[in-house]
Amino acid sequence: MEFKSHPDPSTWDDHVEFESRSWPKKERRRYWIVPSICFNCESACGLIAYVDKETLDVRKVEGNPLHPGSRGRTCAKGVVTPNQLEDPDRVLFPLKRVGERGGGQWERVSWDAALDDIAARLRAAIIEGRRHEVMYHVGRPGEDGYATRVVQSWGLDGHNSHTNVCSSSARVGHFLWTGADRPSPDYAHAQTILLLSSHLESGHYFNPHAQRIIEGQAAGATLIVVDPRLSNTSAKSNLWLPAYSGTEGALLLAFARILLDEDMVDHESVRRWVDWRTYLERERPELPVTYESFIAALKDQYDAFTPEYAAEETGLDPATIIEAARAIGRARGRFSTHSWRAAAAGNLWGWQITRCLYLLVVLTGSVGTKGGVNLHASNKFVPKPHTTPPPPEYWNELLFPREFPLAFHEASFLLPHFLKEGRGTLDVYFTRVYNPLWTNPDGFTWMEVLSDPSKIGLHVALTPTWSETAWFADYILPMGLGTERHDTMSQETHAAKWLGFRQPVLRVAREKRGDPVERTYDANPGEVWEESEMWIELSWRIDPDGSLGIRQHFESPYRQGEKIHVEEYYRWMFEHSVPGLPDAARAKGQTPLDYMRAHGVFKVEDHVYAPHARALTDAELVLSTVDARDVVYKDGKAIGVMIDGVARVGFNTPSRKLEFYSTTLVDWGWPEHAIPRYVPGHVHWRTLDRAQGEFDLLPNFRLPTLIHTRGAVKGLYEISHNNPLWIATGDATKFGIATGDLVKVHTRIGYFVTRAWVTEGIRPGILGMSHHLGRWRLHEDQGGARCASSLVRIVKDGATVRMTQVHGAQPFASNDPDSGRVWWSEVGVHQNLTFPVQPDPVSGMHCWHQRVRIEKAGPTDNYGDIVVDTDKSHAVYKEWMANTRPAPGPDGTRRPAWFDRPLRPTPEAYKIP
Amino acid sequence: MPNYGFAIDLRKCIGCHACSIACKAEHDVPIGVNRCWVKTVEKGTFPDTRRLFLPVLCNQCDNAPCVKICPTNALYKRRDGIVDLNGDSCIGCRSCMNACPYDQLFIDPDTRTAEKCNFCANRVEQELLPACVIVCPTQCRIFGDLNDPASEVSRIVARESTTVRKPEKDTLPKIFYVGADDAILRPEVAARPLMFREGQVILRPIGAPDPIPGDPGAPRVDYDVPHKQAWGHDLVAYLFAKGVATGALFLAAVLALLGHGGSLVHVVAPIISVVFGALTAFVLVIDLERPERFYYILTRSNWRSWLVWGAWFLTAHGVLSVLWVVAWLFGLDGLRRLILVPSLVASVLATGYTGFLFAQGLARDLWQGPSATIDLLAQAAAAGAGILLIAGVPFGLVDAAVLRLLSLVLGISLSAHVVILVVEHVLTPHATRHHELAARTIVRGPFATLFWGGAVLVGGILPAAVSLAAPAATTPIVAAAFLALAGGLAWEYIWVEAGQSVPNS
Repeated sequence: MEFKSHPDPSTWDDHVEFESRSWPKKERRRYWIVPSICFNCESACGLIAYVDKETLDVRKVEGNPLHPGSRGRTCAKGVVTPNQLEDPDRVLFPLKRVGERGGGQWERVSWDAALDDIAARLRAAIIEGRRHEVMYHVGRPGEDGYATRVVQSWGLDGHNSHTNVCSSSARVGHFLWTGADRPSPDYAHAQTILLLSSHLESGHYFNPHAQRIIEGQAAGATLIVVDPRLSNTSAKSNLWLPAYSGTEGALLLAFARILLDEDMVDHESVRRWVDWRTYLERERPELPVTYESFIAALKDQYDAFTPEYAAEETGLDPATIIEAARAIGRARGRFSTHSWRAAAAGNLWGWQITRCLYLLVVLTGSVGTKGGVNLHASNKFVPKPHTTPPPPEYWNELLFPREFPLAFHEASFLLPHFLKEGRGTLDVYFTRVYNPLWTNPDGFTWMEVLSDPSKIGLHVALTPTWSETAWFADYILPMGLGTERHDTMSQETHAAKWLGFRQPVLRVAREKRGDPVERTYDANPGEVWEESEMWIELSWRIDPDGSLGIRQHFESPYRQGEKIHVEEYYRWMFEHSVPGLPDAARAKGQTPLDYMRAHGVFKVEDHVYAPHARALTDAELVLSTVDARDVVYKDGKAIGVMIDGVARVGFNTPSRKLEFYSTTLVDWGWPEHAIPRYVPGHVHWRTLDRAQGEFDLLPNFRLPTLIHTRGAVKGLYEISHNNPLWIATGDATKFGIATGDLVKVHTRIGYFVTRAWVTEGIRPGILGMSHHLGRWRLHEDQGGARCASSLVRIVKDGATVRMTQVHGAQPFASNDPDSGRVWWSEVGVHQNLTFPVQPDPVSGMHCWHQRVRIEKAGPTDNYGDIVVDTDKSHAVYKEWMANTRPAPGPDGTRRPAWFDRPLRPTPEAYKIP
Repeated sequence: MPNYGFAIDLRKCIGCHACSIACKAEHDVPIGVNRCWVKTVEKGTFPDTRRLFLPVLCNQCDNAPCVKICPTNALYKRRDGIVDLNGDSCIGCRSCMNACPYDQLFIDPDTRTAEKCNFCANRVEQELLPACVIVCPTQCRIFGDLNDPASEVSRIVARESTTVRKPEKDTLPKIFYVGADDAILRPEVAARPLMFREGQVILRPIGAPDPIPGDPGAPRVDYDVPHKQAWGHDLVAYLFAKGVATGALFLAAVLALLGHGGSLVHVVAPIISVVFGALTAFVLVIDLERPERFYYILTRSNWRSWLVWGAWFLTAHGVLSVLWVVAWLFGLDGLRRLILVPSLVASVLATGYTGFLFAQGLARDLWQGPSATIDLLAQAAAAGAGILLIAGVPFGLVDAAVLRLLSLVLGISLSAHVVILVVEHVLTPHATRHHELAARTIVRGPFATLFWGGAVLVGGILPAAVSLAAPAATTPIVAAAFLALAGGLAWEYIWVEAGQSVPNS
């Protein structure tokens, strides 16, 4: 018998399956199988939803076998989508605050009333020249470009993100080298894989990457993992290198030194593609400007990073360091690596760790190769919509303050401190699948600011679930999950390009049945809507007569002057902006939109390697010029670089080459950081007074089973529901701590009390705690998922805020009999509340590691107790802000022009007046 | 015909739990129970620490113990080798849970019947791979036909070094693991802490290996799913009541055959047998998850199950006991004579079958071996003697000869019982680590006080000594009889609990 993984796509419109619940009776159920995309992390894995033709229930979801990134597979988080849909604690209708903000009283309102109210306020802000008082703050985008376009169409520099608590430092590191802020490793074909991340359990992009890492390993690749914690990824490694946190740079430079020493360098690639000239000219003017001098200079530069030195610094064994370096060297162009959160996000100067890592990619000649590291820009595809609104004409200093000219993405987590300092106020603040009060450090300062109507006039929470932040909103507008909304999304999962299409499967099913659906919320549970359609409605209400220039971007490209239908938006995109899609659709006798509805994904290009090496065509070179540094220009724009006499595309850096030496950093005030360099992190192990209980707390690891703040799913919580404090056996013994004991963990601004988990799986001196758990709510029956949050009380006494747990998860009655079977109670402790903000002065990234002091909890301490002094947290904020080196840069601007911004204002706005 | 099986390459498993959750979604498996899951074990000392993952699911054993013990044929083997379950036939006796050495069966709280993994037979029949297979990000699970030498699963099993869970149970499992470490494959190896890495431990088996202080590198479980104990106090009550009933009838028949008569033999003993027999049946029925289906055991009988034989033995024993009472009520001496020998036989069978039934609980090493059956007979004799002494002596229904005889029976059977306990559980080396762990809970662990103080000393040696030393002393003998019954109850409790105290996954 030939088994299939999934029903054949030709049967998706009428799939018949035996119902498992009544098996072995052969009860046949009929389904529409509707493809979509997962919304539970950023990987954008393909899903197929089984919509029961009789009941219109989503019976289950599986991976979409047609999806090139996820290849029909999902992680645990994808499969639970139906549980999210039926979550008894979902918000099903638009809610409006009654009484005080945060007081927990709500009334149900109609979508019409809510949108009219919000639109009037937005219109007033725009008309009155207060655009800067409107902000859209996104946690999980889960889509490419739609919301940014909306914000842009309103003329706002008002796009804020979560990136600075996530990946900014990794991005800056990648970006300084290549001009692209994300790597796209080709794990499946690698010879050696080095991870400073835990991609076998989390991260961008867990499922697609884990598949390929293991595929590579099964084919013989050596997997090296650098992590002080025994993550599942460490557990699968061939070599686990648990270096002290913040010392990874020393380790990576030791690898580089060994590669240089043992001549395991791809000289041809380095000579051609690295801008070594600038380095030599600036740093070693005494040397002739030749490649040979560069290699000699490099050897000098990193001479101090002997294996012995690195061993001393990282706590590793020198022989293991050499073994790992040789494995990297042996890869010869097939070296794949990734750094995303972990070390880069944890440490001050974490972006230098990424730069050191990328040095290895460069030296081994693995840039853009098969089995090497590509750039996201060449493996991700974002189609253009029917209109592109003009860029905003002003600069929002609440997003990109002068202190952080090089910050990668907005200074999101500093927002409450900016508002406290009076740098501005917000009239309308959208939080969108964003829970800063819980996710960001210093949540009590967020709570303070969110509660204050003089700082935030109207807070609109766009969210599929309750959240700690939504509790402090004026409107909670329920938004759809992975099978309840339209979006397009693409990610650099491997050496290809694809475009995925998320769909509201119940709407699609109803339409297949012949029932027209006017609004997606008519098909979804309750009145759960989707942003794509909601934004159209809201934008029309802001500019009903088109006089503000907003409406034109929400008019149908097919019916002049009429409001665009949500499907027309995608229809136009698929017809005009996706190369190859119209042809593929035609071959199947479908329109491009029907093709995407039926398949959920389109592979735009496969086997994409080394786009930087492509020679420019004669047509491209017409009227081009070459400057003294070999950069090829056309129409005032750099389009390539001369390599050995041939004009090639190159990279998106100013030199169009790989920038070992960053003139940008020098020009913008950081000359000491011009090249990849080892700088110990802010919680360096040598500075810890361990006898006094001082430790380095690693608080930023994730679990493969939990979805950030949309993850309150019974089946997942059954597996993972607590985040005890990992502590090494020897450390625990010293303090008389056993597994399960209560421990008090002091930070600079307060403390929390949690349980210890004593393990051999963490480096002594380091404590670990997953950031996934510790959800809470303030009301017994609403405000959070009852299977996943503790009921807490918060008491404020001046600047001191004290949280105590009333009870943990408990069984409760609902339509789902499982809610009465909740057997776990402790659901974690919200450690982030006790962390002050610690922005990296260059990348703007919150440096997650915390210097903490631990002690055994006393008799009056209880599990989950949290105390924070927000005055202290503001003082720490000021301390870190003092380390910044503000704009202007050399040209009097706010930011280097070549640095990305998610939503880029006009060049004029870059100038500091 | 195909014979389906799995190869699971643990070198590729990343412990992501996608399989566990996909299974829950496919079969709508409630919270608290699991058809398949991933057990996790950490071992070694820093920095030579590793975490091991073991995805487990039903082995669809070729020689499936759950199919054998299932009294109503609810569990059955399909022609393609899949062990499937028809919930409509299940009475919820939970015997399959004690038969499966892998903890793969559970009671579904929605249907209150047993449930288990069936390789997604509903999908397999449509030529679709099981849900756990297709979801797996690293494709570490290979499903296919073990009878087809060209199938990938056959080729892996042929080529690679594979292992199965508990091969010593001779169940012939069909999940073949590549790269399995003993620390995770054998549930008796890794210590069970009081807390997992990501959550609470509930239902920790008390016979599980404890963490070893001073040896932090020893393997320790850091995730497993909870398993409810199959049999509890109802089974203890059943053992006790049944011992009294069968012992009473047995001794009545013996006494009658030896020529003793009187109301103790002809009235009291049969009434005790009827009452305690009814209690036994009542306890057995209410203990079922689906008590309204109790009669399926007689109408859908699986003759390979000792539960079925036991039901018939108990029925026979009950009918004969009632006939004794009828014979007394209506003075039918002929009938009584006719049923004497059948009563003797029925009471022995109704006593002894339980040993075979518990031994069919293949998951429980403590219950294996012949000594349990012999011990059950000894215990029943003691319980029968004890109850007759208690019921007879205070009312002057026991003449001197019968008193001596019953005392002797009590003393000898109790002595035999104590000797069996000590020899079996204390002196004999245990063949398996599982058995050793179970015995340890009895001899040195949580049951030690009850065992040594209750079952052996106060409820065993003391009454045995009294009844042998002073067989005619009425008051001490009645006291001894009470102690003997209490001691028997204590042991039955320990036997049921300790037997199920060792983890099977």
